[in-house]
Amino acid sequence: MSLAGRDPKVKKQLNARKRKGTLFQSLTFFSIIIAITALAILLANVYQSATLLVPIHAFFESQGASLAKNFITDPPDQFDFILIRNIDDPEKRNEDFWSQPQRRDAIISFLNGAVRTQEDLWQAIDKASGNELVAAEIRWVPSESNMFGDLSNIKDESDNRVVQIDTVLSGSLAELAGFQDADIITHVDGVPVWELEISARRESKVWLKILRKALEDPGGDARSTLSILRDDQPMDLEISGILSGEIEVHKRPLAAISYFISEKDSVQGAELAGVITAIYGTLWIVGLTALISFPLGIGAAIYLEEYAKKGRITNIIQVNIANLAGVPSVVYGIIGLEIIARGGGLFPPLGRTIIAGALTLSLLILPVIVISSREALRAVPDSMREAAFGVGASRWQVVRSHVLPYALPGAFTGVILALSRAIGETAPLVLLGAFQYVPFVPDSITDKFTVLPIQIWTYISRSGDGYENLGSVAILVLLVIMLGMNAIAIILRNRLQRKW
Amino acid sequence: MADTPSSQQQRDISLAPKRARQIRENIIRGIFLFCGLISILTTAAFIGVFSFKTFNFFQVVSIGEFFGTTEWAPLSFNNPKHGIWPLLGSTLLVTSVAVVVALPLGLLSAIFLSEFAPHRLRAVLKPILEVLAGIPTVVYGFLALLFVTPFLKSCCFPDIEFFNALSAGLVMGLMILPMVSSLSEDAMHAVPSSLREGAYGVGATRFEVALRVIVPAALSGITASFILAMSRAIGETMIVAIAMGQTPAWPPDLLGPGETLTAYIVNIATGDAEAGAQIWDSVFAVGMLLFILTLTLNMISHYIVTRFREKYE
Repeated sequence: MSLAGRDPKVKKQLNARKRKGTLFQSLTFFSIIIAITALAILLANVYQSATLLVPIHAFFESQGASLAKNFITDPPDQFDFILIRNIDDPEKRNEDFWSQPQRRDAIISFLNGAVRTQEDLWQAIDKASGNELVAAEIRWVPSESNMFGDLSNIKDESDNRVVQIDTVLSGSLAELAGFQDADIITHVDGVPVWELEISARRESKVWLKILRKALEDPGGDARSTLSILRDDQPMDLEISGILSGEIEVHKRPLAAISYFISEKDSVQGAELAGVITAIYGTLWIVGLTALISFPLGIGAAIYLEEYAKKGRITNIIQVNIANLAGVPSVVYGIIGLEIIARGGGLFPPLGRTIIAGALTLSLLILPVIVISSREALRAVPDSMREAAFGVGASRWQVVRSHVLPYALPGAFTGVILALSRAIGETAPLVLLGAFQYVPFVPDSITDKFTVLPIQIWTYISRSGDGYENLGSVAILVLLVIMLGMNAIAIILRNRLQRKW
Repeated sequence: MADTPSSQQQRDISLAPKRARQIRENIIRGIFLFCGLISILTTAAFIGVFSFKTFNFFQVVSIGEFFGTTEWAPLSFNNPKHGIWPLLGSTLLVTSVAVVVALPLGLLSAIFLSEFAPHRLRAVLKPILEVLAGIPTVVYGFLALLFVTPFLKSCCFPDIEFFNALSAGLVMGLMILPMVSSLSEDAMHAVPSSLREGAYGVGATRFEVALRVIVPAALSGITASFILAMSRAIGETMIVAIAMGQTPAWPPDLLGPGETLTAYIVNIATGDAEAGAQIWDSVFAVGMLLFILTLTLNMISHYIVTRFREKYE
């Protein structure tokens, strides 16, 4: 029997100590759980927010109702550009979307015979989407008569089509467009096709693809009708008569997210926008940053580990690198803007371009790469070097054939981790290229850029429904890229690194 | 031995490739040296540009006004004010909130990971924490603005404003927490197990070992991690720029908006400030202050690690 067993006083004291210990242990456990849970909850919110935005564009029009609204100045609820949220949820179908008889009537009349009742519609949707499908698309292609029924005034004698332009174009756009013979670019089956450029607004081109498509391809794919709306066009179009409908039913949130991933940015509405420009921007910047920083970083590490004598200069470089690694990234942004983008009076100014961003980020992650590459070089045992020196190899030969091959996997790991940090870096790039509206995919290093983190901030700052949801989508993409890079780094480390 | 023509010849023959090799070696060495010097060049550029611009700034604004007054309105056309305290105050306020969250949670997490966690659990939790440390800060800012602030409003602070220091600080605490816990855990892990075993040997419980032996032994590393985390919080930009707004406030208000040093830099740099304009110089002055603050903290942390580390064996 132990002492504790005999003496009740000691036993009591021991128990108290034990209890205290257990209490403390659970306290420490809970603290880590609290931290992880808090973040998990927040990230779950992001995911939920990302899935709330459903890229369903159903364009409807009830007879006589004017849909011509300016997207930007008019509140979205005035606009019959209908965003259907939560269409996957059977209960919400009725509440959110079908509660407005006008809309219901609109879609049914629009479908014009193809589907007559609401039940038919949902049956069609369910049938088309099924359980296996990630996303289903149902298109209603209006019949020819439906398409051209209202288009009068333009009369093509050969096939008796009656086209009424006033219905197609109304309000300011009709004035701006001013159909003229000179604008006829081609004839399809003898029917004239116009292409008009509206430059008065937003410097953007409004190609009347609707009309063109309608004339070219009556009864055909109505997708191009939508494409004009998805581009960055002003929305003063009244598109009655030739409007076609398209509903994408997304059975799974991931399908909705994948839609937003593949679209370009747009200020017309979150449902029309996407993050593909930012993804390309990120890939450009990170790729260039890797190309610039990896050789420089590993070169510096080789110098410090293999060449430099332990002396004052080496010491200064070391301390310097350690300190640079601790400088706030926004400070790098100031330097990047002043010296790299604006030239600082010494260099040719590069402007707020991809190459300027990549150089700035390279400066930022260089210290991290040097530090991790040095670790990798140090892990190669000296016996390897001595053996090579022993048979008469020069220093460079030793480095090239004996040290680098074994140190590279480790160095790569460090570089990938540093790059995954660079991907998330916002502050320095915000200074270089914040809030640039980039609705195109960059294709050279001197292009303007946007990257995912900046895009996220842009979406937060943009007013309008749905942009924060789009920001959530961008966050998911960013996190997936980042986690993917981390995973690659870990796999590399585990597979290629050898133990000595 | 005298140099005979034949041995002279021999030497020439053997020297020729050697010299070429020597030249090549020197070139390669030079390339690597250049790579190493880039960091020096970067620092030189930092110091040069910042000193020059800050000097310019203080030609116009007196140091007394900069540090002695409490109104920051550099954009005002008629009467610009350059008192740094609103920016500095907001920075310190947010950092304090972050530190209040991150220090206890981080330290306790570290103690759990190092002393209590079963091996398997530790193998899972540690990478999770490391991944959390890598989440981009703009994401944290987004979370603070869109989820934390509404939550705080609905649960505890009905008066909280859309932009506020509290949610920015809380989220920032979450951001620096992995850093605190990971570095502290490293420090505790480095304490030799002989110390643990000795303590167990005289009958200490795990709790007593953790709190009375391990934490004191690793105190220098723990303190250093705190200071590094503070430095990181001070330099953090996106969370405050997004969630705290860009309105300078004095005195700093926990539930209202404010502008930190970093947020000011972003605010001006994303505006239309021309290079060379007075307002652009103020960015450098603020950046310099930020640079000095974080550098000082980093150096203190480095000093504590090297000076006060408990040496064993």
